[in-house]
Amino acid sequence: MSPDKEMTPEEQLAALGMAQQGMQRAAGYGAKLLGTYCIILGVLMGGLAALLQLYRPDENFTGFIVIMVLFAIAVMAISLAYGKLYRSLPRGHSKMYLRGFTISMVLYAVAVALLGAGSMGWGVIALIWIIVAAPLSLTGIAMVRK
Amino acid sequence: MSSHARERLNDDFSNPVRLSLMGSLQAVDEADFKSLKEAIGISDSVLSRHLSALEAGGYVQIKKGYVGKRPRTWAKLTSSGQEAFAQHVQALKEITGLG
Repeated sequence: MSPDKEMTPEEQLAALGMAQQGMQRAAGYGAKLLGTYCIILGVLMGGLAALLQLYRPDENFTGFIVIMVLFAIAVMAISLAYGKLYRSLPRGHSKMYLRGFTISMVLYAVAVALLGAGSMGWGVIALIWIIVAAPLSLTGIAMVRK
Repeated sequence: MSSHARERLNDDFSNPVRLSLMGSLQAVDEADFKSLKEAIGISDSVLSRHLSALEAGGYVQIKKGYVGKRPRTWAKLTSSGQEAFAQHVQALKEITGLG
């Protein structure tokens, strides 16, 4: 590309198309990376919500602390990895992420509120895992498939 | 009736590199220096010069940070940059008969 050449309107539109095509690869990589991050974070959040039903702080405080610490380490590790690999974010994806994350967080809060309802069966615990993980993980799957 | 499309062209985007930069950034929320460099195919110094010019014009916002010990630069369009560039592209399309 000649950096200082003046272009006709037709040339400008052609150059614009080429530049946007060139950016598609970077945008695709960014979408896959954020999508993978969303899937893992969703599964972790769902897993935490489910495991808290098994290791209730009032019944098994040590187990509760271990789970919380493991969750914090896992989230920190994937966030660090994401930060290291992050290069670009396709248009609109930050809003998609925020929407999925917010819904999963609300569902996580509901799952925590359910701790007061007493012990639950394995089926309900698995359902909690899936329901909490779903919004963020499905957002991630949509990003990866795009 | 609005002015002729040619009068609505923004001179700040008539340079090929700036036009390509704005076009590339239009496709993303944010992109780092290396992604832009690879997408457009220009040298570090040329990219740096034109990004700074676009930032001075208020079209682009530049963020500098570190990933580990390595410095990294990200750029994104400002809302006024998005608006100005959309108008420029619309004017181009009208001139060429595409809009």
